[in-house]
Amino acid sequence: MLEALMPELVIAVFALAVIFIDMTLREDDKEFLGYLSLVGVGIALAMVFSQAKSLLAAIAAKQALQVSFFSGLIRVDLFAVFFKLVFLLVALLVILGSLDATRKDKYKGEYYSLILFATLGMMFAAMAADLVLLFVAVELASISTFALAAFRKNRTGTEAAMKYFVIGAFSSGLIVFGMSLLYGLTGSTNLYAIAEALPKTAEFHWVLILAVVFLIAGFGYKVAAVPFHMWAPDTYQGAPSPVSAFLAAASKKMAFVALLRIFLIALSMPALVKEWALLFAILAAITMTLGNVVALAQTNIKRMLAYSSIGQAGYVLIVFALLASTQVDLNLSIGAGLLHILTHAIMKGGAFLAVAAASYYMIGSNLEDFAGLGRRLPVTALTMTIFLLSLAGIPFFAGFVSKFMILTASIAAGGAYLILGILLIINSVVSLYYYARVIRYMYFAEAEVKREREPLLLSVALVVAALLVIYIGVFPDSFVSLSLNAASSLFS
Amino acid sequence: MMDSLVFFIISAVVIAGAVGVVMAERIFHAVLALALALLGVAAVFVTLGAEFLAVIQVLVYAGGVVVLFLFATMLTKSDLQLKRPPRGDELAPVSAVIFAIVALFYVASSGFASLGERASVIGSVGSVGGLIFNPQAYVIPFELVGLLLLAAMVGAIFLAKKEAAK
Repeated sequence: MLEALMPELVIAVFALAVIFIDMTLREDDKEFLGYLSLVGVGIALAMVFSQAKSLLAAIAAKQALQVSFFSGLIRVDLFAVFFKLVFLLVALLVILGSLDATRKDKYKGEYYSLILFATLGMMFAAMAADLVLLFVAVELASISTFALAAFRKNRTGTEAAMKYFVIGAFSSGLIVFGMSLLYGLTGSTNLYAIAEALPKTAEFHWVLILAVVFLIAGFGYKVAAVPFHMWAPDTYQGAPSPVSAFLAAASKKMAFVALLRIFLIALSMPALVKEWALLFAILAAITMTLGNVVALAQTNIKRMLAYSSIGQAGYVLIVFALLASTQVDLNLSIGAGLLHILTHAIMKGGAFLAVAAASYYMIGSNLEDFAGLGRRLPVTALTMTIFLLSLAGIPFFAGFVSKFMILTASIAAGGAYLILGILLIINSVVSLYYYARVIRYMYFAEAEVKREREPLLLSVALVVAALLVIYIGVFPDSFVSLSLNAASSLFS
Repeated sequence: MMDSLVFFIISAVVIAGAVGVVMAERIFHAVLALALALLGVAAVFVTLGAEFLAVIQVLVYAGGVVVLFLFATMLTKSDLQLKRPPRGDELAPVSAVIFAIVALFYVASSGFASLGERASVIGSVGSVGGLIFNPQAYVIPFELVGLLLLAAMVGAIFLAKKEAAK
């Protein structure tokens, strides 16, 4: 039983080890803590990878799976393992990049231990089948990232962290309120038990709607869906770039895993699905449109990436809207969302790390600062180009595959859902404009620059992420089937 | 009959305290009103049989949080007068009151009342302890909360540390 929790145990032990070893090291030796965290995340990633392999083998052999532990509190199904892979992969890339990006900063022990704690919280959120555990895990990840956002104690960083903290605490309050209403109605905190108990409480319909609204608003803040998005651009811009990468690529995905589990399992009563799917459809439409349109006007690259991140969250929200449709296979739409969460984590994390690589040479994050980057930092510029093209959804990059899958699902659903698919296409076209503008500045703008030596580890992180983006784009089959299997494991 | 009379009296105290927090002209008075509201909530917990929650409410909120507030107020400019919000800002309190009434209406019309009896069974110190430390119940979230507090402490100390002069 504890065997299934080994990756979490490894992360927890390494997080504690980082704190304690930090006390014994001189300031110059603290880089060691980064390598130590890297090893911890690497070991956990290998373990989760083997979990995924054995789960996939079991699914292929149609074996019965024992996936529930601690009387149903924890569920280690392929869905959870899929998200754990995403979180650990992002943590690995971020730590690798931070080794270079935070070389001149103090407080390395605090930095790496908080990243590990946040990762631990996200991993537990992925496995939680119980509202109490889910909330504690989400809080662990949130509280760790509040402090990370203020890592550089300058003016913008503090403002970014302050906004993130106030909004984060407020949204947690909303989430608990929603959860408490669900508990009051059903007398249980277990998601699967709530799903069984809810149909018997049909007369409490309106309280249920109230709970749904609270949960959507609370997690809406965490995924930065419009109209709950105002904190995101300020926070992503003000926080150090590796932390922004971590927030956009991992922290946000944790909110999606919580939303998926709560709404797909606990609130899956057919009469209720119709209600919340409509809310999600409206949210998806305004989130993707506003995110992409406002991104057009941004001159700061981190701010632009933040708005693009809002737009991309809108694409994932489409999936929730599709769940009310009877025309489309449930696994197809959820799988499409999962794949987009994976690809977006890699490409958006990579893009923020590329900005971190640029700021290593005191290059700012304004559009003009990137002029001539193609000659100055060729590896960074090339990988940034790959991430941006993938974000725009150009074929043979990962972003295309997952967007195409969402589009397929919305076409299969037909009817009014087609509108969401059409909006997805229009927004992709709009987004191409502002992504291409960065590429134009990097390669075609006039600038007096000379070639510089690029930071090695940061470049490794960028190249790994870029290769993954291309690999998923060219050979999508195994990833598509992985996400479809992960989607179906949610219900088995 | 007696129960609901007690409940209404306590509720009136809590609401009076909450209104006092918003209406007070000095921060110090607002904090004292907050303490009143929080103690009132503890009393509600007692009437529901949730003694453990009541004790925690007094220890953590009335004891810890409010005292911290008082210290912070007295260490800063404590004679600070709170300004009335500019005109046109009445929308916020009005919408808050409307929302509270709507929410109350729906909660009251649901079957929540029956929870009161259940609370007396699950709210005692013994049963809460049994739930928290039972491997078949909530021991994992409990352990995770320990790590959460550690992470919060690390973050808070790091944020509060003064930068060394360069």
